[in-house]
Parts: sequence; structure tokens; C-alpha cells
Amino acid sequence: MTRRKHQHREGVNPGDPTRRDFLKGAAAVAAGLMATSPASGEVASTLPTVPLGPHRITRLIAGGNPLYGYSHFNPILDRLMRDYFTDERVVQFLLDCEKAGINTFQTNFKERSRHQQALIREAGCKMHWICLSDPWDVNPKANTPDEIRDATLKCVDIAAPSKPIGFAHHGGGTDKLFRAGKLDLIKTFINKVHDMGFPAGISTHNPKVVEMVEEKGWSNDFYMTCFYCVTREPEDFEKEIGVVPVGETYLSTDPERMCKVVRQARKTCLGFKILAAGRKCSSPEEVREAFNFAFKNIKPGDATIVGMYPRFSDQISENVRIVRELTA
Amino acid sequence: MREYFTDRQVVQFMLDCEKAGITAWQSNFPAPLERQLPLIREAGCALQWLALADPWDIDRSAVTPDTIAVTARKCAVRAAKQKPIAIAIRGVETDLLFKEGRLDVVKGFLGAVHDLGFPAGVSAHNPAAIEAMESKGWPVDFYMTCFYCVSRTDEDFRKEIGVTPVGETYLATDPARMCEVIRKVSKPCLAFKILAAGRRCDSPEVVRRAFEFAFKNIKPTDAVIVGMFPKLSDQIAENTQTVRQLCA
Repeated sequence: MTRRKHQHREGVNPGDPTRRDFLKGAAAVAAGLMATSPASGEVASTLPTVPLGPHRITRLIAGGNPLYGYSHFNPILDRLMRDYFTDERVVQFLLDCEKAGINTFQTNFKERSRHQQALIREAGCKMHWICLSDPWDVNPKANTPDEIRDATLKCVDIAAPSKPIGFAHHGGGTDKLFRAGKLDLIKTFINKVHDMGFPAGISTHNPKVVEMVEEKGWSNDFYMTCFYCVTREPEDFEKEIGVVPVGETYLSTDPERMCKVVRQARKTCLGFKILAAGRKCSSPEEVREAFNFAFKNIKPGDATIVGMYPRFSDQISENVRIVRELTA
Repeated sequence: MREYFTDRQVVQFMLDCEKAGITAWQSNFPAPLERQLPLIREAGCALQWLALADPWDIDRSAVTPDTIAVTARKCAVRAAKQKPIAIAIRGVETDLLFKEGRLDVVKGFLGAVHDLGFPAGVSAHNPAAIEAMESKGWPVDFYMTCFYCVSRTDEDFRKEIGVTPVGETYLATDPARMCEVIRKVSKPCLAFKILAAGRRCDSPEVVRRAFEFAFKNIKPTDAVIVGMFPKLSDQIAENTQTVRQLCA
């Protein structure tokens, strides 16, 4: 049985280590990991890339969910992930990703992530960053379409100085707006992001959103396309499968549906949750099969975003190896 | 979980459970428990042990009715030496035997456990298996009844909901179905997975509601089995407090 009791620590408290302490610690952790991590050997060549605006991004992008405790399973796994991914480990994780050949990572921009951006750059990490404009990072109570729009735009303002290579409208926000018949509000986001000089993306879990945006011919530059529709409401499940499941539930028919839309979309798509948030990780064969499905079913100009939690095995090396083989 | 539950933590966990007012615990009999059982007893823990005869503890290839028949009995003999207060056959096997029309294997198991001098139980995830067993009037002393049918195959899911989910999936309609059977059964039922293996733990309120549902829907003579992972909070104290309030 698991449950959440302690709340996620956001930001830095007065008693937290200083940046100098952190850098000392990071060096020590790095030295330790260098001696033991299979990922710490020679710098590998960059994985195959695809264009995103003026940049080239690897077809495997490191996802941010595990770094900030979004396990998509339950609060205890959220907490274990947060406990594991200290500032030092986040920096080391990204350095390891870069060394293994991944050149892009994607995260939202909550306090912890904001605080770490500087540490990541100070450690010499040159990875591209795709920012997910998450309205709930700036307004946890955002609920109405207008509140979601306003908070999403504010997020762009806050994140822009950290120089992402693109902004994506958060999938949860997108799907909520779609449900409310207010998808048009996303145009404000696209325009603002473009005005600020960045490529603009739309993240969604619902294939119908991509279809609608494509049909409308909006000027977004890319999509982030979840392989599973994790934003179904209980009534959606009732309608679709006649019963409400307990907890976040993934349907095996979803990836096919999203991939069909991904192939039809003219823009670059970044497929995410290809491992069903850890549910397709029972064996190395199952992981490989999930990657294989993804790369067979997205376009050659598309990429994948995969969250990694390398606590028990070197998932960075494992995933990079698979992607190298599949995209060779 | 395995990393957290070192021998020392397992012993401490049992002592903490006992101190909090729990008198029994239930588990299968994997290799580490052979080492831990004496430690638990040496630490002065007097908790009563309900043993689950899990064929995979001794033979992972025991998946046919005939191999299950042999290994489940071996498990019972092995567990009996450690003085449990009762022995139940595992739910995975019961469900499989029910599906294959071989519940006679369970009957044989019950006889073997009784011959060893222990109360004999049957664990199941499928309410239909319990109904079938009850209709036969076999000498079952108790049932272990899972609130969720976690033994559905892909085909079962396709038949029931028209699609196969990814990973272990819990359906919200299951607990009511199992509870209906529990209330009809005259024997004590020990309900398990009432928190959907951590899926009903988003907040203390969600946990409380799950306990509340359980105690409202099982018989007054039934009990619940709840796994706990007290690494991040004192789940033992939290759960015993909830149960005390609900059973007061």
C-alpha cells in the first residue's frame, strides 16, 4: 500500500546548500559516477537528428517527468523519483545523456527546474531544452480556459530568459481547452511564442486535437504527441469501454490511433510516453519492442521523448543503444 | 520495496504492526522468509502467520493443474514446519484451476492441509471461483478474496471491455462484485488489495474511503489484508487508526 504524506519540496529553502556547496557536491558525485557508470566512458557520437526550427534535435529526447516526480503511477513513486533526482543527480543525468549522444531534453518549468537551469549550464551541459509551458507551474488553481491561457502565457515569459529552443503548450492544458471547445485560445500562445522568436509546439494526448489543428492550418511548428490518451475522464472510459478503471490506465489501442495522426501531420511530431510511463518495461525485450513500434510508426522527421529513471540500471545507455540500432 | 525491506526492516515492521494492535500477518514463503521467520520470532514477535501456498516459491514452472497440485501440497508441507495458523492456496492458481475446470485440485489441497492439522483457505481474484467452490460445499475454512480481478487475461479484457489495457489494470466495478459474493459466503473472508495495490492512495481521504468501502461491504466476521510500505509515512499507524475508527 502506498500513499503520499509529505509534500514535494519546491524551490530552495533558506537552509538548502549554496551553489558553491552544490558545485562541490556535483564534482564529487560526478567523480563517483565516472568510476562506476557505464555511461561515463568515451563521449559517444550524437544520435541521428531531425530539424526543429533552426536547430537539430536527436530522435531520442530526454523527458523531464521522472526528474520532477511525475511518475504517472502513484504518489509514492512520485516521491521516490523526487528523492532520487537531487540537483546533483539532475545535472549528472543530463551530462550523461549528452555524453551518450542525446542533444535535447524537455521539461516543464516549475521552481525546481528553474533553479536547476543555471546549474545545468554551469556544469557545461549544452543540450537543447524544449520548454513545456505548464499553466499549473505558475497557477496551480488554473481551471477555466482563460486561466489556463493566462498561466500558459505567463510561463512563457518566465522561461524565455533560460533560452529554450522551443515552447510547447502543455498537453493537459491543450486537452482541457479542446474539451471546453476553446482550442482557439492556443493561437494566442503560438503567436506570443513566435513573437518572442521561438518555435511553438502543441502537446496533446488526444489525436483529435492534432487532426483539428492540422485541419485549421495553424502556424505551430511542432506537436508533442502522447502515445496514450491519459486525459480520459471517467465518463470517457464509461463510453469507450463501459467501465471506469482505477488509477491512470493505458489502452493498448491508443498508440496506433495517435501514430496514424502523427503520420498524417505535416509538422514534426515528438512522440512521448512510448513506454506507457513504465508499463511497457517488464523486460529489455518489451522496451525494445516499444521503441521499435514507435520508430516504425512515426515519420522519419519525427522524434521521441522518453523519461528515464536510471536508479537501477543505466537506462540512458540502454535506450540510446536501441535508438542507434533502430535509426541506423 | 525489496531494497527497503531488509531483514532488519522486516522484523521491525512486524514488531511495529504488533505494537499498533495488529495480531496477524500473511505472506507466501519465498526464500528470504526462511531466514527472516526465526529472526521475527527471536525478536519476540508473536504475530500469527497465515501462509499462502505459492507454487512459484519452489517451482516457477508449476503452471499446469497437475504440477500445481504437486507443488501446492509441497508448499503446504514446507510452511507447516514453521507453524502458521492456517494455509491458503494462492489466488493465481485457484483462478487458473477454475478456468481449466480443475477445482478438484483445490479440494485435494484442502484435504492435504487438514491432514497436516491446519485450517485450510482458498485465495481467489475471481468471484466466480469462490461461488463455484461454495456451491460444492467443500470443507474450506476461509477465503482470501481479492477486491480486484487481477488475473484477467488479454482475452478476458477484450471480451469484457473490448480492449486490452497496458500493464496490470484495475476495474472500479470489481470490488462491488467480489463483496456481493463475500456477503453470501458463510465462511470468513479475508479481503485483499482493497487499496488496488497503491492505486487508491492519492490522498489520506482516498485511502480512508477505500477502507470504509471495505468494512461496509464485507461481513462483520471478515477481515482485510493490507500491504504496507512505510518508507515515506507511518502507514501502520495510519491504517490501524482508520480501522479502529471504522470498527468502533
